[in-house]
Formats: sequence, C-alpha cells, structure tokens
Amino acid sequence: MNTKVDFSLVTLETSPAKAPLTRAKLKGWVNVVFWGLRLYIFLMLVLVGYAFVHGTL
Amino acid sequence: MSKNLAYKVSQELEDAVIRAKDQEKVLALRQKRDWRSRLLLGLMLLGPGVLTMIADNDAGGVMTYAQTGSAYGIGFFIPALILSGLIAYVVQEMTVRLGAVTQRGHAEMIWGRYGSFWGWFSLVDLVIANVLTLITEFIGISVGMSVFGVPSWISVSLGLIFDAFSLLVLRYYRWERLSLWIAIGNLVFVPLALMAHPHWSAVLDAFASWHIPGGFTPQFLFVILANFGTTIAPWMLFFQQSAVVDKGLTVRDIHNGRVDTAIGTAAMVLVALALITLTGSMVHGLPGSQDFNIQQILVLLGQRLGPVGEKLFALGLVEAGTIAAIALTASTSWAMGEAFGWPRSLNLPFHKAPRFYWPGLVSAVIAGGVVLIPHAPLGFLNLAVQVIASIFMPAALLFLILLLNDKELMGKYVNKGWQNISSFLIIGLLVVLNGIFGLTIIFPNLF
Repeated sequence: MNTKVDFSLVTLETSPAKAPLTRAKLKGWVNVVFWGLRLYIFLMLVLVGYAFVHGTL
Repeated sequence: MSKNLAYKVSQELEDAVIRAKDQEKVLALRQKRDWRSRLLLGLMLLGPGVLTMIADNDAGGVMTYAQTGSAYGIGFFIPALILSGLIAYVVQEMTVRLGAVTQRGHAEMIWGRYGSFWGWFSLVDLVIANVLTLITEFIGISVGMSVFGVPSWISVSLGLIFDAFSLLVLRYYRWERLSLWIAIGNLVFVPLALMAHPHWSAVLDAFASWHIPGGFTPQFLFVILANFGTTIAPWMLFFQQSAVVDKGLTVRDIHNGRVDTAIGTAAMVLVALALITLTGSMVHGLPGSQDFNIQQILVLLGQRLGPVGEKLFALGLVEAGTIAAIALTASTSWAMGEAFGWPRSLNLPFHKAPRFYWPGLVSAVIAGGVVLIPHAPLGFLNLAVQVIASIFMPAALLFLILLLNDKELMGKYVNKGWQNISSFLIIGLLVVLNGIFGLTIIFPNLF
C-alpha cells in the first residue's frame, strides 16, 4: 500500500454521495408511469407467449 | 467488528486507495494550466464514453450496418445515423452525471431506489441480454478469423482467453487503456470506405433528400426499427455508469465525461457511416444485394477491393466482437456486484473479489460455448435478444430519467428543462420504436 496517497481525496470526493440510499416513494405521476410500465411489460410478455405458442417466434 | 466485515472494509479500502491514486493524478493535472497538461488530462479522462459508444458498434452492429448499406445504399441511413448518434449522446450523458454525482452504478441505484422487484427485473433482463449479445460477438470473431483460415474453436477460445485476461489481470486504468487501444481498431472501416471511392456527391445528396430506395416497404420499416430501436442497448446504460464509478470520476469530471461521450459518439457515427458508405458503394445494386449475409458481403468486398480489403474488414469484425465482449463481460460483473453489494471493482484482484469476477467470466464461457455447438439456433437467439431489449429498454430509460430528476440524489445536477424535454422525446421515440420493433419480431407479417 502506498502511504503517500492523499486520503482526503477519497472522503472529499465521494463521501457526500455515499449517504445511505433510501427507497423512493412513488406518488403522483411517477406512480402512474410505473403502472404504465407494468402494463407495457405484461402486454409484451403476453404477445411473446402468444408468438411462441403459435410458432412465429 | 466481525471478521467478514473487517475483510470487506479492507477490500473497499484497497480499492479506494488505488482509485485515489488515479484521482490524485487527475487533480495534479487540473492544477496546471499549460496545454500539455490539459491534453494529458483530457486523454486520462477519456474512457467510459468512448468505450461504450465504440462497443455499441459491435459485431452485430457491423453486420447490421453492412447489410443495411448493401440492401438500401447510402440514401436514407446517413442522415438517420447522425440523428441516432445524437440520441445516444443525450442518453449516455445522463449516465455520466448520475455516476459522477451518486458514485453508484445503475443496478445499485435501481435496486436501492425502486426496490428488489425492479432490481431483479433489470438484472435478469440485463444478464440474459448480455449473454445473448456476447454470442453474436463470438460469432463475429469467428467469422472474421475464418478469413485468415482460423477454425472457430481456436478463434472463440482465443477471444475468451483475451476477454478473461483483460478482466482478471488488469486493474481499471490499464484495462481501460488496453480497451481504448483496441477501440481504435474500429476506425479500420474508415479507410475501407475511402478505398471504395464513394460518390461524394451522392453522400452529400443523402442529407438533402433522405431518399428511401424502393419506397417505404414493411422490410424497410423493419430495418429502420432495428437501427433506431437498438441505438441504445440496455447494457450501455449500466456499463458507462459503472465505468464512471469504478474510474472514480467525480462531479468535477462531468465536463470531461461529456467530452469523452461526445468523442465516442462522433467515432461511433463515423464508423457506422463508413460501413454504410462502403457496402452502399461496393455491394448495393448487385443482384441479390437485398438479402446478402455477412459472409457473402466479405467475399464480394474481397473481389472488388482485393484481399487487403477483405482482410481489413475481417479484422474490423474481430475487433468489434472483441471490444464488445470486453464491455459486456465487465457490465455483467459490475451489475451483479452492484445488485448484491459485493466488492465490485476491476482494481481488486480475483482472489479478493471472486464473486464479482465469476458472473462475467461464466457469461463469456456460456456464450463462447453456444457458438461452438453445432446447429445451435443462433437465429432464434438473435431474435430473443431483440425481444428482451424491446421489453427491457423502456424500463431502463424510465429509471434513468426518474433518477436524473431526483433532487434528493442529484442536487444541482438534476436534469434541466431542455434536458427533460429532449430526453422525454427521445425516450418516447425509443419506447414506441422498441414496442413496434418487438411487435414486428413477434408478428413478422404485421405490416
């Protein structure tokens, strides 16, 4: 290990952003967008399943 | 402090020390104002952006561009590719800011901010898509090396050994430098395009007319969707953000990160244009050029440009597969490490972070092995990767834009109004194109 390294750099540059990452609260339009995303994924999975069963994939 | 925790802390400290050394060099160069130091600083901070963009011109991309030029000439796709380059820049710039500000990779952000359901969803999609894409890289390496008479099992084995060497032996900075040297090889398609003596007036005319040869047919729609829909692959978001974090870029480096991304974008578009120009000039218009595969294109280039042309193209294909394999392997390892909180840095030796290295190595071995299986359903696997990308991409882009609008995380680096407008437009366009592309793959006769 090189003892000449300036450790202050590590703390100065990275510590403010390394605060614990907390779960985002989904509300308002963000919640609507997430439900839209779930719907999109569900529809695409149904289509993929249909195509697979019917031999087009 | 438990033994495990003490070990983890010592690993993180070792990683931080190596990164701090690199950051110290950057800081020292920042304090000098002479042109040599500025140039050195710029070169030192090149990396994640260039590698991401060049690796996007992977073996599959080279084949797609070559076949597109062969089938449709240069008329429409030259301006279209410039537009797709701008789209790629806007999206990838966001990963630079997100990584530099949060010091966390994309997988860690999704897992921590939106929970384990979306974390698992993203991780599983990413890893499957990465393995499938790696298969196309090894196919590219194999096809390219076959021009030099190298059998598939040797070329795939060499590709695997090189990939493993770069991942296991080199720490981040040297891994990045080696990858950048390989990435330069992607430019081999530029002199090849010049050797084709294209009609420059036709190239310039393409910007004015956006001419669609043969009209807007269902097949043309498919090619458009394939080119635009895969402009941003999911792995690119994860890879660049992880690379920014592992390199130790901070908010001070965001400007250089943007320059790095812009240079990478310019190189990516230049190479794509060279490929379209090359086959658009040399192959387009020949009987059957609508449906040529990459082997047929290679043979034709050999006939028209001579063996040097054919061999240069083959080398380009090998390079494209190699650089993308390196990026995809690292992307898988980083994403797994970020999702499960393992030590995750190329700065750590294998024996100190085996869980970080194994996923990338295993993914490469699986992909290489599949290529060597006789009669493997490679066409189906290629379709599968497109379908997974079309389902996954909207989610990945949505997480990106939500994170970039999260003031709690991003502070003053949150997206500005114009960035949100442009990124929402781009995401809307990509979501629609990915959706339609997925539909056309599932239902080939839809249009």
